[in-house]
Amino acid sequence: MKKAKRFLGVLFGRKIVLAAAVVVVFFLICAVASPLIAPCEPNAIDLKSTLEGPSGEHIFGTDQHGRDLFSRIVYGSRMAFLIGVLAVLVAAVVGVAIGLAAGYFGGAVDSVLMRLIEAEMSIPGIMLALALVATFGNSVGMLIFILGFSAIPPYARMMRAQVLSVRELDYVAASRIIGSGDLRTMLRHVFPNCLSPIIVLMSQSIGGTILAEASLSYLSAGIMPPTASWGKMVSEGYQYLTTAPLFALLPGVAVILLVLSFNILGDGLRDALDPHMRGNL
Amino acid sequence: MYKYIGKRILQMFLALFLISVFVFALLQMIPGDPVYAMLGDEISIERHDQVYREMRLDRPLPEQYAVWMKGFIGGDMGYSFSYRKPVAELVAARLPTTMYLGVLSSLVSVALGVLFGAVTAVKRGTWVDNVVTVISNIGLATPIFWLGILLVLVFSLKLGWLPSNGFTFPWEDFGLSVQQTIMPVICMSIGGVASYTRQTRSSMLEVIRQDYIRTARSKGLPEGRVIWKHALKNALIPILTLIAVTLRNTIAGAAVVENVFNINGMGSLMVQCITKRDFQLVQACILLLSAVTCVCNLLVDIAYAYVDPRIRLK
Amino acid sequence: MAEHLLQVDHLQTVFHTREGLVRAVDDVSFTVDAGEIVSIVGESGSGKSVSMLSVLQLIQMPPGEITGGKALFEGRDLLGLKPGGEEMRRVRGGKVSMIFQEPMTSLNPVLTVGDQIMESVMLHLGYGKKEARARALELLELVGIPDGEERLGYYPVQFSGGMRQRVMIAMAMASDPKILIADEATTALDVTTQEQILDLLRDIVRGTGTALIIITHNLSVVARYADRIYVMYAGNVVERGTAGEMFAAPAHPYTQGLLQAIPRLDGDKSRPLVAIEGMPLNPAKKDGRCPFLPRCRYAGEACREKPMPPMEALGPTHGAACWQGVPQKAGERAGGQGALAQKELGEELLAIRHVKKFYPVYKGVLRKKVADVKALDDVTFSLRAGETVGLVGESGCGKTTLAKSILCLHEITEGEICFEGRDITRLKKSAIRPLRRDIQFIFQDPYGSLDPRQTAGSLVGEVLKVNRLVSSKEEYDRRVAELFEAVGVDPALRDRMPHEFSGGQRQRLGIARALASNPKLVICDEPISALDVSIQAQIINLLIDLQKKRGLTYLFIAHDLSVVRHISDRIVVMYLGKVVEVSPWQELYEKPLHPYTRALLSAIPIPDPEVEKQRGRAAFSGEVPSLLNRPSGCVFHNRCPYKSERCQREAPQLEDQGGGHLAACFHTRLVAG
Repeated sequence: MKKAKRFLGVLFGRKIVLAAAVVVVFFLICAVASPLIAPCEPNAIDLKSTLEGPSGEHIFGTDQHGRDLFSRIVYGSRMAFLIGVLAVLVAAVVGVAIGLAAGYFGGAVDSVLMRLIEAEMSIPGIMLALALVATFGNSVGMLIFILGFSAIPPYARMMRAQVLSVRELDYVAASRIIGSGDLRTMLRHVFPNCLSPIIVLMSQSIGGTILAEASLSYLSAGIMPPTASWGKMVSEGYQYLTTAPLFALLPGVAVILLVLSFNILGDGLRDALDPHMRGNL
Repeated sequence: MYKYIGKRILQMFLALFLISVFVFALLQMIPGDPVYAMLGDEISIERHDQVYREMRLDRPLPEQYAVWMKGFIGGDMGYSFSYRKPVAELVAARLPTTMYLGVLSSLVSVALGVLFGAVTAVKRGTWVDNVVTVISNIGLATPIFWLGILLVLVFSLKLGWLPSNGFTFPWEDFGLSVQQTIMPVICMSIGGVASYTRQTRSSMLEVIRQDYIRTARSKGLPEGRVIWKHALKNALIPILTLIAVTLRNTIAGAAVVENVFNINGMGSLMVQCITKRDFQLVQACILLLSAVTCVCNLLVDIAYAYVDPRIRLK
Repeated sequence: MAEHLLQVDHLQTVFHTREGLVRAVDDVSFTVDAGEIVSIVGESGSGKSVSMLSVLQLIQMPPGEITGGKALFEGRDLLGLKPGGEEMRRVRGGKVSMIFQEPMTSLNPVLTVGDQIMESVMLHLGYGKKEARARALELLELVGIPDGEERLGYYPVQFSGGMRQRVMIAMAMASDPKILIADEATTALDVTTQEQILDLLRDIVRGTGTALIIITHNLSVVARYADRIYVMYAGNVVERGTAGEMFAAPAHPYTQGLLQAIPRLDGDKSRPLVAIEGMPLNPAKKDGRCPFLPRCRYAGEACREKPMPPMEALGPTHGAACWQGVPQKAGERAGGQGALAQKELGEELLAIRHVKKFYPVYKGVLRKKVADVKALDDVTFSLRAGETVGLVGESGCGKTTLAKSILCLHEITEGEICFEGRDITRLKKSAIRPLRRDIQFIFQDPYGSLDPRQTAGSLVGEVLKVNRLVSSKEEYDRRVAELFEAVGVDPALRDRMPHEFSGGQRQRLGIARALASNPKLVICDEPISALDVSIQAQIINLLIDLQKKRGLTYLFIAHDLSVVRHISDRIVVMYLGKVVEVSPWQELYEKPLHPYTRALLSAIPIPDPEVEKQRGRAAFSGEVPSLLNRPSGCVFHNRCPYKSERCQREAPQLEDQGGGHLAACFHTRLVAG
């Protein structure tokens, strides 16, 4: 308890990290309680009032179908969170499993897995995701899987490196010397000590995944309309840039705010977990 | 050293082989019939069967792969149904554009990122550090399509300084080329600049803590010399490994940037052929772009070994 | 004004940290004259390095800050100069240069050594490139590096540790400095290399008239090399004096304590080591009183009430900072017991017979085996129940490989290791696990050997659980508490995490873990070398005590012969994977029969300048070669002054030279003199 308190103290001791956390929580509330916050139904078409500027009724204005932009941005946070968080989880679970296997078994298993990871790393990120979308479609579940799959390499590599270095530490030898079996040694002494950089990496890559989802949506390969998604909104707004610039720009601001906050939070977490890196933001 | 390079080349071919198998397998994994998936359900059965045979889909998989790969290496990359042209022809026209933008953006990223990173590390804690750090954080969080749109809005639509789309090589029309490439290159390099800045900064801070920097200072060297001669060279070694990752992202950025600025490159080609489900084109694009990244990675690794005597002399 | 070359007055350096203000250097004064060798002795955190770094303004500012004092060098106050300014830099590296502890990390890995040496020459002497190169060649010759012409183009990675330290010295001497500071310059090196480097340093400064400041934690080193000594504790100088005064009549309780706490190579073994109880004071917790107060056995009213005592002169050169005057030596106040109580030895417990451990070396694309690295080459010796056998040797001698072999952590190539008469080297995994209860291990590094995510209690108790040695929760708790008490750690601390303990306490936890399964044999791998000097005696005494109470058998691995001699009944000396000598402890110092043992003995100074002056020193050259370049014939012949032509051809066997004293040398008679 005392430790957790001290950790949170260090983490939020820096105002910027605290601010980032507030922004993330704000968007999280938007995502969870969208119907309560959004003034309008996000997909309600109103052809009488298309591409309007901000007004009392529509504080951010409306889009080409007369839908309330503010409501759509609020609802858009749902997809950002859902896909950002779950895809990172998929990537971490698969990557950690691969890294653990490669680091623990070594030899041929290691070579094969690492060559596969290297191969994946050579395919430019979005291209890989685009190809997978083309093949498997773009349902929300599939998008989570695809974005997760594209993000595996860093987890696998980091986990492998962690296992290799932790495995050589004295306390792991100590565990064997007192008579623990391999499984116990692995689960009790190696695995837990490999995790903290993985957690940091996860928190740092949620932002990147949200960006990737936005890019896919922008390229019409992400969330399917009419579901509100920030990336798609920007691409729709691009056509009306001269008449209604806010339409394209505001959803992007939402992306920047959320991604920036996640990144700062991730860096803060790293600094709090690793005193060596403190202040290197 | 030669052994190391030989090993890396071997690994590169292995990676390319794996990618080609993956790309090949993608076509097999399309749910339903690949021919219908590509040409739509309206085509006649005869047409379907003809295409099916032309694509050798009736042959065993290893044979399909071998024929495809052999053709690919020989320059026959298949036929694009949506463009009604050989894939090779399409790709040959567009790859140079993407390569040009990619290389230019990478150079800009490395140059600016390393400079900013080194300066912020040296000026750690000052306003310079804070400003650059905030900007690079925002840079990492900005979707490049959004940045592109913002630039178009400001510099093309409002100020009218730069054209909002198109691409020209500098040897065709230098002035126009510069005008047309400024905004795409800014978009493609912003992520790179931001990550190089952050990495260089933390790498420099790490190096500055090392014993040999204390040694250099204890010799009485001026601080500038300690930084630029002793610290930076060491700090750049980990940065070199980062080039591989960043390059992958820069090239990926082409997909979005070419779309925003309406440039006919590999990225926009890919996006178009994906909407049109033109799979042979997709295969060729991915394989080619991956090959480009692989070769660049190889070059980076060789440079890495050259810079670090600990690897070179092993 | 400038009577001294360097005169530091009331220097104060603080660090602003999370825990508050740390007074790392608290009112420190000392002087250095031209041509003399001065030593500053202290444990980690005593402020010895920070003092010197402050004088050169090399500490990180912030968090560091020099808050007071003067450092007069040739009459000019260095602390008044701008840290990065031209004048300061001309002194730093030009007039005063430094050599650091870690030769492996102190040279820039991406620049050639020639480049790094010439840089100093050009900077401070204003030479051109060509002249600088010539000067660099001279310097390499000065520090004993042959083939300078070629070596100038080498990168640090191509040198061994000892050679790198020579390069550091060449670099430091490049500008003809007035003062050379060696900051723990030999601590990271092998024993025989240490001696060579220190001898080299002394010869160089004697030759050039440079003053040498040796910063070290090792009192014995000081006894051999220093003219004058300053002892530091928690940021204060507590005693100063000439080497003779300091060792003959130590005046401060801390100095006295240190001298009683370290074993001596020529010491009387029945003399117990008197440990200084408690832990070194964390400088963040200083309260303005004498920092040694919590650990001082003479502490009185005055110490508790008055502030930090001033340096009191006891003679023209001698002085101490203590309110109690000069406390009498408390020889009678013996803490533990001597190691030399009569021992009853039992049956043979562990027998190592002709053990070989080879690692194949592969080459080429086809990974053809081209050679073996012989980590252990025909090792034979045994331990009887209740005995302590010391195993000594430098890096690469195979002592850790041997320990791993006994623990069945890897398979050996040939030979057998019998525990209680049974060969344990080819057992199945299931058969090894019960054996683990009987053979236990104490690690060198008290930090790396405890899982940072487990509580102290579960670290010690895991052994009981894994081996099902307890049947109920109550029994488990009781046994863990017992173990804590046995090693002198309060059982109430069982829920703390390892990082909340000090190094010494962590080592105690490691010992408790090793004892949990009631082992018969305990292998101690350098169990004290990572600890502060004042803590080492506590752990040695604890180990001796536990052996008596529990009838343990120890295989005690170390590189420090004086410690090994203090605790062991018999001593095994290894070199490059071979046992070169096995000797009862008394005879080893009086009558070493292998030239390598002589080299080791000679390399270890005795903390007594008078004895040191009388001692004959054996002349040995070179460093321990890599196992890949193992010499043919006798492995030691390339460094041996006694070598004959036969030694190059033929490897001598380990033979009994009488009285259980074995040596592997053709010339034992010559060596014994």
